[in-house]
Amino acid sequence: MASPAATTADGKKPAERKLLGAVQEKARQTRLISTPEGVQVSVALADRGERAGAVILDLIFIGLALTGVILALGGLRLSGLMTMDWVIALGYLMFFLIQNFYFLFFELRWQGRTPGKKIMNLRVIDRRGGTLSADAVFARNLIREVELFIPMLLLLSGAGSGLGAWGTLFQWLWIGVFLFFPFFNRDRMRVGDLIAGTWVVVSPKAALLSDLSEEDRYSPQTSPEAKQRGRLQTVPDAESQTGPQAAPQTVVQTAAQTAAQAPPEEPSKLRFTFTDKQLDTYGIFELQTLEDVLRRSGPEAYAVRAAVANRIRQKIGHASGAAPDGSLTPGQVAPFLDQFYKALRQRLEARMLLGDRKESKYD
Amino acid sequence: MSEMILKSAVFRQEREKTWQELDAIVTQIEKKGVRSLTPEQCHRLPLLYRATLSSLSVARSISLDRNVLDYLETLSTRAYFCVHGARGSVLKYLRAFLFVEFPEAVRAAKWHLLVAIVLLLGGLLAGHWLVVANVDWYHSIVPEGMAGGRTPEASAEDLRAVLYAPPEDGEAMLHVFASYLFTHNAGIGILCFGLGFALGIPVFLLIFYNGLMIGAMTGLHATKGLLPDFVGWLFVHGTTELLAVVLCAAAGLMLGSAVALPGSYSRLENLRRQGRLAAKVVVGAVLMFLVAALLEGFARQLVTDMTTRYLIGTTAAVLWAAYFILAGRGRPHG
Repeated sequence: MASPAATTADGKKPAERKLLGAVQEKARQTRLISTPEGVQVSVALADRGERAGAVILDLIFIGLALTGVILALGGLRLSGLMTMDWVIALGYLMFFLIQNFYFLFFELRWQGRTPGKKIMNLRVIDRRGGTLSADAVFARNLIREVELFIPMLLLLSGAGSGLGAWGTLFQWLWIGVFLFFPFFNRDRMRVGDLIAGTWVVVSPKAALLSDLSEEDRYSPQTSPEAKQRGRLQTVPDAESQTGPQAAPQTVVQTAAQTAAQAPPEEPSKLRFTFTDKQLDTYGIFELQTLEDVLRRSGPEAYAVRAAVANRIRQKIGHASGAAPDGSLTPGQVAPFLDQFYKALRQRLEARMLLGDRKESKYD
Repeated sequence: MSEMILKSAVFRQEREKTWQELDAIVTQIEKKGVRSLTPEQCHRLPLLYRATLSSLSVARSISLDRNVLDYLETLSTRAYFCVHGARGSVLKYLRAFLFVEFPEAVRAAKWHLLVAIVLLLGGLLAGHWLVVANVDWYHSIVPEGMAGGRTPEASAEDLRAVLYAPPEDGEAMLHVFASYLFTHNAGIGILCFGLGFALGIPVFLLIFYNGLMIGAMTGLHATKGLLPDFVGWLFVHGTTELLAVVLCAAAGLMLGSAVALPGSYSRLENLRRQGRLAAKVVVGAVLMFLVAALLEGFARQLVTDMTTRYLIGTTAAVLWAAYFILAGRGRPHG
């Protein structure tokens, strides 16, 4: 067994940097907006790729709409319901309206979402919070003419044909400035967002999973949340042979998983106790990483949990391993991690209540 | 193991029902819109929203369960969009826009408007003077396609015929003409706004050149003794159309000046303020282009009496001036 000091001594600097990097990355992608109720809520900025995807979808829809107009007017003309002059007059009008007002209409109507954004799960919001006002929608979409349609036209028509060197340079400068604008600011704003005071954010979606500290996690209940709990028992068949007997009533709810053979009464028998000193080894970041590990599902989930459990046991110097080399047996892994998670959370939450947030193990 | 019961877990158990109820309502709004809510749900939404926001505050200070934190965070954000994202009816907004916001935005842009008008008039006078002094200038200013047969080589009779031409093909093509004019002009107006982002320089050039072309035409007609007739022909729709043109130019200049001269705000904040005002001016101007196109497409072609043409144009100009100066003053915002 390697000593805890040795493992931290040589891994510390890069690990700490990595941790800081992860925290900064998250801060880079999220923004806080203040609600009128005085509570700040956070939003995640949309990825440039997602935005590109949304705009491409919208352009496809615009193309389809224009095709639809042509077909409809053509049909009306051929069937003799409409004379050619009306077809031309309406055609001009419809093309103009669709090109200039497609984005505007949907963003006003669907509160900052166009069909493309809806599919990509994005929405436009006001940078200062509050209702997305109509003038903001006007501003960010009226500029599309120079920002999107003209560069597109230039690119499609082969930029720089017959304009001379300066003309070509100017064209590419134009295309470059507008196209790459979102890459040159932290908020990933295009010019339209800049002048409208808006952000494009990911429409947030997160499911409420079961509380990992709940007592009854091991007894397979028929509660509505039970579906999300099965993953904790997913022990590969080979491993479960060495563990305690599989109980027939244990149900695996995770869709693709088939093996869940930890008996319901077994974990309650196993008790691990942790001292405050042991718990103070870790901070909030590690607690929440452990939460991810515990919620993990998939074929390798058990292996990861076993590795993490033994790593923790070594680091805090917990003498609980029942295997010959002192490590945890497969049957011990889940209860050890669960109880450690719970104890650590209790400890950190208690400290936090007293105004002492331990952010990470380096804190 | 009673000592292992966590405060944060108890907190969650007590509040979970509220969150889930809000979640259901918010999901329904996201999928089917606000209108699908029952009166009971409408009543519950703000209560649940505030309760969940308070849960979020509490959770941030007592809980380290990241799933709960993330869930509350996203649920609050989603509910926030539902509660504060909804806007009033379109009709109501349209009224507020036409009677308060548009004239207000135009008044806020008055200095830019003045610059645009001066540029346009400067171009107009320069074009007029150049062509009157030497008629050959006309060809270098007005492109062949725009001239439509109105060249120095044409006789006064030909020019007069264009000005008082009865509608081609009867009245059938007027709506085509109007629709073309509207989309063409409004498109240029929107372009003018966007070009403003390049420090307004393209806008200066565009508006000056526009003036130059009109000036060249007045100059040409002046040399043939048709100046009053041409101005009357232009006046019917010109007062409305040129006003819309200078408004779009003013919006572009507003944007350009916000990029170049941030003033007392940060550049970002200034752009946001000016950009929104300018956008309102452009949307209003697009509506004016519609009016202008109707005047140009129908009124000008149907009314061939010079006095009536002046009357229509002047009335329009006076009405626009009164509208921009008076409408929406002293009203509360929103």
